[in-house]
Amino acid sequence: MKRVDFIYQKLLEFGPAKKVSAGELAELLGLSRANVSGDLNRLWKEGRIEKEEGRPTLFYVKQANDSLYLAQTALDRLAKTNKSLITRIEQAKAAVLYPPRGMHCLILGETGVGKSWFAGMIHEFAVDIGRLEKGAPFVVFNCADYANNPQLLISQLFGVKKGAYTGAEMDRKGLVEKADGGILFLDEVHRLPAEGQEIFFTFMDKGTFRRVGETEVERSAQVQIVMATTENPESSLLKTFMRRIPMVIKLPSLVERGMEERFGLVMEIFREEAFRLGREIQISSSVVQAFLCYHCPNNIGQLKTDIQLTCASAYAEFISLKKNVLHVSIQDVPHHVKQGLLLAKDYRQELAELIGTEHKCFVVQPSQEESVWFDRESENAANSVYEKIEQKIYELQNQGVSEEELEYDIEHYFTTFIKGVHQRINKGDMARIIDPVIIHLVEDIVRYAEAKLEKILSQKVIFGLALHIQTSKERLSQGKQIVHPHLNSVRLKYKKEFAVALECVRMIEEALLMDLPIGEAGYLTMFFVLDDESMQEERETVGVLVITHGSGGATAMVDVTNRLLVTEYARAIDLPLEEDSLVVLEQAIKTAREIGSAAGLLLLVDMGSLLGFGEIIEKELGIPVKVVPMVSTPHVIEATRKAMLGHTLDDVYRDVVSISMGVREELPREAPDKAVPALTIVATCLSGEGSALFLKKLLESNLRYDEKLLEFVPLQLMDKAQAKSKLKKLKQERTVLCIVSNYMLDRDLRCYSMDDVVNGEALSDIQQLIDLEEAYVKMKESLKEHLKMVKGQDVLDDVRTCVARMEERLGDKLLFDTRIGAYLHICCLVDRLKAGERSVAYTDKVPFLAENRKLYSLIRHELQPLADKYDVVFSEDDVCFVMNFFIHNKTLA
Amino acid sequence: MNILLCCAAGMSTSLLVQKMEQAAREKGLEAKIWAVSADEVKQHIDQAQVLLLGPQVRYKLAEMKKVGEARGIPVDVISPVDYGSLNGKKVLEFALRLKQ
Repeated sequence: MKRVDFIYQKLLEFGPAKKVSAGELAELLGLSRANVSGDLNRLWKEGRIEKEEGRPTLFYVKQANDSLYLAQTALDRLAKTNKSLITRIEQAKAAVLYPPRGMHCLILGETGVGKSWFAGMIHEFAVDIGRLEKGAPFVVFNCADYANNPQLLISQLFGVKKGAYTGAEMDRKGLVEKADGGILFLDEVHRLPAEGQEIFFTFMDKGTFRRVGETEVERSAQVQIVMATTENPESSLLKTFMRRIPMVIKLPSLVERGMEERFGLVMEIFREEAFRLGREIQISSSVVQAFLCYHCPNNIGQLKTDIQLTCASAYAEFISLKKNVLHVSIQDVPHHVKQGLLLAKDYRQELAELIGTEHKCFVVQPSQEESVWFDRESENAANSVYEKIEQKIYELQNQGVSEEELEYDIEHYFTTFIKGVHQRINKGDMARIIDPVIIHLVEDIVRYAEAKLEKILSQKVIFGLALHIQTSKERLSQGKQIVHPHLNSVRLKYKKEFAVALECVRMIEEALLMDLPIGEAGYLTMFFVLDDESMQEERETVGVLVITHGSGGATAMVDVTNRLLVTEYARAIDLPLEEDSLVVLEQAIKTAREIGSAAGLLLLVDMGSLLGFGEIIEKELGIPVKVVPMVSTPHVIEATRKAMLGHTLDDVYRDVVSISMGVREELPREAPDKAVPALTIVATCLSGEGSALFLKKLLESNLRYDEKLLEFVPLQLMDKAQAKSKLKKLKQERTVLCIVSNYMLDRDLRCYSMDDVVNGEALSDIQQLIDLEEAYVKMKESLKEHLKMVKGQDVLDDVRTCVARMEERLGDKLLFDTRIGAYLHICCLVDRLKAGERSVAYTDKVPFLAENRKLYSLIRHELQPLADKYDVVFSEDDVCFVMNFFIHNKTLA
Repeated sequence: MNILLCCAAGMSTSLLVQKMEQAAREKGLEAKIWAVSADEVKQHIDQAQVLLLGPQVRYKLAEMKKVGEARGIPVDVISPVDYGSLNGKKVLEFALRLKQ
């Protein structure tokens, strides 16, 4: 900065209120009085500052556009409600205020964070404070529009002289000229070709340019350039270009903005819609929650579109049903936004602070600034399970159901009930980790399949499918196989579904640009079929039967329970005192046959001969029966609730019995395993002792592995739910490499059939799995002791993530050999850079880079998180070496 | 016994070198073990008796084999498992076996 600019800057800081003499300023800045005095007079002559004659003469900064300078600018108002933008706003102001014509600046940020809008704000600010004249041009140019035709792009920007090329029939002004005296906004500047960037150098340095075809005339324009890009400028712009952009403003993503600001944005956008529709909008609280929590990768831009879609849907209903209020309910929200509700529980506290926990509804007025709280009457309250139940209680009470029967801490039950429901939906929670592309794809598939199969698929299937496709995609791109064990029987048994599945496979292939094996169709078929079957499977829950002495006792309790839980699940038999218990036993067996299943039957009885019923029914039907020898309404509610959620007979029994004791029995805690091996392979059979043990032995003797790292675990399959929960627990504790089982327990895990293991076909596959995982575990250990500057285990995890991102973006998975090498290489590289060692030079770097520019910027981009985290700088050479892994991946023998 | 290791930038193999040297000491074996990048192999190969490649430069195997054969030096790729786990002992044994 020149001295004169420096002095001007200082005066700007003081603001127009503080007047200083040359002497004061000289002392303050440690400059000679004569120099300062000269500069001040020069500034005054240029009209940039004011002077007050006297002794000593005082100088002060010009009150730009007088009244407006002190008034709040649009940018200031913005800063008030968007704290995360404060630094960015200060940067923007500095860029505008910087003399003489403002500073060129570059705005960075993900898609949809509002870069163009921010550029507009900069322009507005410059006008507000009088740096730019009212009506000063704000010219927007998207470099992507002409990226394929540099010649045309340059003529668009700088203008053309008549006859410069065929078609240039007259002199034409370029955008730079049109922006004279204002701001030129170059969006997607990374698409500006190198030659375009070079022409800009001159313009940025000297403020002069030539129209295409002009040689003699040199034109000049006073333009502040604001640029924006989503890319990392280091890799997408020329270094020489970057050097000329002194100010880089990075806008935060929606996630970085935080919940509070997001809330403000959501309400603001709704308010805009209200303004557009010219009427008040009521928004139910769950809608606001969904918008606050859903995964919104394209930031504010997407948020806006999604809210507009929602309003449109609500508006359609409003018009067609001739309602008198425009109410936005959760049904109006697009499916992917609804998923936000599933994530909401992770933000419970923040949400509670922001929007409260009582069911409230927001109202935005087209004119009003703030949205107001608004408590709704109960007419519309039946939105959530909670509200439904509340209503139910109210009804029951009105019908005269006695207080005693509801006496048990009912609220406790409802909260747990609601929790239970959430657990059931939990599968949907996976939506958080599912690629939106896949979610859309699944929606398409579901639409197609529903039309072809003429049935409605349940929400569960949609989530399941999405999850399945996601994992298939990952598996396939890792080179893992998808084999459906019973493909042929599926094909024969479900011809229609299979045909639909085949078409869906094609849709998936098209959308994800990958080839799928035929086995995939087998799985999809199962999804379409399973929907019906899973309902049958749901019936595989524990039956609940209540029998008590006296007329009407059992029926009353069951009635209350069923009403509360909105079901017909529990069954009752009354045993009037005069009735023969044998008749009742007959009746009990009959009912047990209806509601009992392989999962078993829970009998709640009060006393006497009824206690013996359990044994008789068990013998008669051959299903497990447990008897709870005491019964009250809370018992029945608990039993029914648990049973409906699919808990096992033992679980339900234990929980119901524990109520009687007044205290919840602590689950027997398993002693913490001492140093469990990190890896495991699970072998299953029905008993867990027969073929599973045999398989375990077979694997142990046929595979090479490290006993400290790997263990084979037998698992019994008799009770599938239990087997699944055991497996889940195993997965939490350690890495499960694969399962040997004839029954598909977990779609995420690789599963080998027993036959394949016994006949040896699967062994080499499993061996490779073991080798790979063992190598990782050991690598971690050796890195721990060998890396000096960084933590080996952390860096390896980060490098794995980083390489995985590269693979994903390149659609290319590194082979095992290369991958091991690449991990080790990058870990060591980080460690070395951290230690301050020099990079190794890459031979023939220049032609190599020229040939692989795209790859370079991609790899450079993906390395950035590592560089940030470990605070190192990767040189071009470093990046080249990493690129090499991918280039030669395929050439490996 | 002179063992030359080669990987992309001589970066990751240098860790392995330490491990191998340690293994050699334990064996009471005198060995010179050093790591270079793939480009530097030609300048070093004359001092080596065995050349081992990191698994990530397996693609250079054919080329290196030619260079090695011309001088009667065995060349091979280190097992990725041993490489990844920095198993100096095993890699040393591998080198010794190759030399025989």
